[in-house]
Amino acid sequence: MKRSLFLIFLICLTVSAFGQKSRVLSVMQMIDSKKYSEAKEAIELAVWNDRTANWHRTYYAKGMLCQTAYEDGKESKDIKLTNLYEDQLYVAYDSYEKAVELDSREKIHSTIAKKYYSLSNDFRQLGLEHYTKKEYPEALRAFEHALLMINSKLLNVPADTNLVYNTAMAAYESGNWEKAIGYLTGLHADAFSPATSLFLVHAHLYNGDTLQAETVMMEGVKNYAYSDTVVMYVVNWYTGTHRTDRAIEVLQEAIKRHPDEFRFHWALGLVYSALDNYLEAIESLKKADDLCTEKPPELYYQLGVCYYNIAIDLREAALQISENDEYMEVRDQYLAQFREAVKWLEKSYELDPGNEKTINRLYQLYYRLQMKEKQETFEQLMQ
Amino acid sequence: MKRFSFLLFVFLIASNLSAQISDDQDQAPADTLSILPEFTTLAARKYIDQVVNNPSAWRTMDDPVKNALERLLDHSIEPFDTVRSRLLMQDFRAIDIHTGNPVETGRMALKWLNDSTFLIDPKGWSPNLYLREESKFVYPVDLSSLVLSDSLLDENGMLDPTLFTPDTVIVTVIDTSALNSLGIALHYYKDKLISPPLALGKGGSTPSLAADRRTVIYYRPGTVWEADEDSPFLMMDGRYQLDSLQYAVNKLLEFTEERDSTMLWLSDMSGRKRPFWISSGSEEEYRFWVKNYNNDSVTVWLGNPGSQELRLTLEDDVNFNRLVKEDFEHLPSFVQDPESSLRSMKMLEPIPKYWDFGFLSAFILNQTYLSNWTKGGESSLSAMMDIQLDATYNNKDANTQWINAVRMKFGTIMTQEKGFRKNHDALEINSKFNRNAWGKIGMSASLYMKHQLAKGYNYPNDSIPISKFLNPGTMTLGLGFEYKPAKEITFNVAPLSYKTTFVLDTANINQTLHGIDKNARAKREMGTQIVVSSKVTPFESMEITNNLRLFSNYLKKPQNIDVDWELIVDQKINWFFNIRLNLHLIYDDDVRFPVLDENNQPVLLPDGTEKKVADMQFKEFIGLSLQFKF
Repeated sequence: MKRSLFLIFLICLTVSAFGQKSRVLSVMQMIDSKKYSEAKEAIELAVWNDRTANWHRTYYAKGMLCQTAYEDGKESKDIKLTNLYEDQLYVAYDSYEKAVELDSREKIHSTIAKKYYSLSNDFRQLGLEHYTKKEYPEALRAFEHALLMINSKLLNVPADTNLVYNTAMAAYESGNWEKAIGYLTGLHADAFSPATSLFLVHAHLYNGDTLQAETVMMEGVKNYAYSDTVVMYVVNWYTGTHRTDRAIEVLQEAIKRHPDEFRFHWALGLVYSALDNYLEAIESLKKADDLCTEKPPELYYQLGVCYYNIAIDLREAALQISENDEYMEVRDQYLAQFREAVKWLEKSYELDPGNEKTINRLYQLYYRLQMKEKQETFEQLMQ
Repeated sequence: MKRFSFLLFVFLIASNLSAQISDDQDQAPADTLSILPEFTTLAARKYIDQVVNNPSAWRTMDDPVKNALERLLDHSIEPFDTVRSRLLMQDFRAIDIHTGNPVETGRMALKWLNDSTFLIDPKGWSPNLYLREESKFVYPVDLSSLVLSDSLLDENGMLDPTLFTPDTVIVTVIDTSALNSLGIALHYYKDKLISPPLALGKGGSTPSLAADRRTVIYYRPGTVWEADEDSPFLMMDGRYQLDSLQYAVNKLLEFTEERDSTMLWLSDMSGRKRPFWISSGSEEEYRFWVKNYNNDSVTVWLGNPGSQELRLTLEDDVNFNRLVKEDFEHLPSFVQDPESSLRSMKMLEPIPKYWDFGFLSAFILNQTYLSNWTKGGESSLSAMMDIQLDATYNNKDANTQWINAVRMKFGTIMTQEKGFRKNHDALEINSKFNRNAWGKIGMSASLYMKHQLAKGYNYPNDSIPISKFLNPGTMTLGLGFEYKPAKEITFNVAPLSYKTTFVLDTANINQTLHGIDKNARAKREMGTQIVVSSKVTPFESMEITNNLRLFSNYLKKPQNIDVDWELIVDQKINWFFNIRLNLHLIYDDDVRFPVLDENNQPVLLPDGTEKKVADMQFKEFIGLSLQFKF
């Protein structure tokens, strides 16, 4: 009997010695059995217990609990599981990191590394969900954690530039210019995409750094070999800041490289037009018309307006003329320009009959040129 | 005014008439009343001129009608507005003052004494008073200074006698003293210079030698008023003559304007006319609608502040919309800000985890302690260790699963009377390979081995072991199918199964106790094996594990199915302790047990051997379980 009592004592001693740690290990079974609440209760006790508080498996178990419950909750659409902890995925990440820190002999590094693969994916998915809901700061946080894991020493995976881009977008949309500039600058340096450079420009502008924005713009023009997206943006920027000479320089260089890109000719025409240089504007716009197969009504409208503006200039000049004969000569000239404007505007109208701007302008010109029949037709149209 | 109206009337009639006459017709037609005369402008002018200048045609020559006709003639030559315009444009006062040509004030005759000497005798004295004639001898040569030379000699070498013969010459001598006393100036003229110069005339007039050099003409400087070269005028009588003319012209023009009035007809694009009198000084304004081709109109007020002045005033509250230039502020629609849409991310492919390991240990304790228990009984302590190691290979990509398990059960019981005995001993090795083929059904191959670890005795005989490690042992190989309707439930059917029961040490272990023929070490069976495994959780803290293994031998009594069924019920108490109920039932037709009579003695067959029959083996154990799971 003494032997049996001794055996019982021995068992109790064993239990007391390994009980706490085994409790942590039993969490794994609970997780397998989807007993997440019990597992949480157990692991929280373990976290605060002196015997297990500094044991790496405790935090591994906690991380695993958070991650597994989250993934299970996502799959079963059970928010109780995804909200087992507040910021559950972040708790998982922090727990894993703590486990790595405590695991000085790197016993479970490879195990955690395997978890990081799926956790990184979870963070990506979480980022996407936040972004879709326009919760940009939260999306940024999630994407940044996904990046953290990719950059972790435990993983050996290639950099995912799309993830960096998405992180940059989340930073951009949340107005965190410092971070947005940081991520976008890297992507811009790698010539990731024209849009990236343009976002970087915007970020610099929002950040109040106009000079840097302009530098990035010009780098973008060169990096993307005068891509139409960037060139158009730069031209728009220069025209918007009344530096049309620079806009023309960029466009002329772009046309040299891409002579068949109708957008460049179109834009050049508009820049010339902004400078009241209508003859060159017309030349460029007609060139764009030749190259463009789509026949955009807007282009014809602008051609018409160029002729219209020439006519207005001539009329203003005519008003200064006191000599009747000379006046009549100039008057004939500007009426001819009005008629030319009508020709192009009618072409635009044919392609886009609902454009009010075109209808109004044509009506004015019909009135001015005393084209009574068409004028009346358009009058009804406008009513 | 009436006169002017009449004049205008006549003018209009004349104009009307003249308009009807061809310009080609220069000749006036016959002056007959029956035929309306047809005039050209020129012919009309000539005709009126004839009438006006015919004295016999008029009663008095200053008849107003005659005057009017004269003025009409003037108008026909040049309209009055042209006259007025010319007069207004003319600057009458354009005049210049010149120092003109000298004015001659007198002449004085000259008296030339010789070719180079003359005198002026203002009083006309007799020349005898200052001129006289004298005779004088003159030799051809000056003998006093004569030097003889051959040239003076003649052919004969004699001096020419003519050289010594004097000529008598009458010389006019001027008596300069007389001239001085008579106040007569003597002058020498040489190379157009007069010496001494001529004295000034009366009033300081300047003397000048006449072109014929016969007289001296005296001049004084002249002042004239002469118009500019562009002016139609030449010389004026006085300095202010043209000013006066200008004033007079302006006065008359003003008078004319004050007295004048004209009616205009204003017409618009539709042809509607409105009369408008241009008269001087009227402050009245007239409203006029200026129309465009579209019949849109703007009201204009027309005033006549002066006879030659029109004032146009636009109606108030008229807004003008002039066509203005259109600016392009933006590039075409293809210039747009980039869209901040996310990019698709390639999710990380987790490192496949093919192997999963598990460890389950349960230490089950059952203890009874009796002391002075009158009803009898015995203190006991039984314990069982149940350890299971799992190693599962799961390759979802390959749809394969390999489940391996090693289970060791070992239990003892200790009583005061019988001491320490083994009551559980089993070592099981289970290996199953599945390949999923059709949904939840897969093909499987399985290996199942069952042995024991320690020697077993048929108590109370504890000297002869009836089993020991690997003696006996069973091994079952099966090929078949597995149906897995749920995660924890499997049905494995192996129609091609081979089962062998062996005893390696037949010297020490009686193999017949384990269904093996007396002269054999092993029993081999071909048949079907069915294994049903499940794990259910009817309550949160209860878990029931069930394993049923059936085997039917195709070759021998297939209807006698070997049964091996184990049921484990775990009821959780707390983290570490469970109550475990373990039920184990075995039926093997080849394992036979002796039949005992009422005295507990074996029943003998007629041949003297013990009668044995197959029977069910059943084991039940319940106790406190200490479990560890990893």
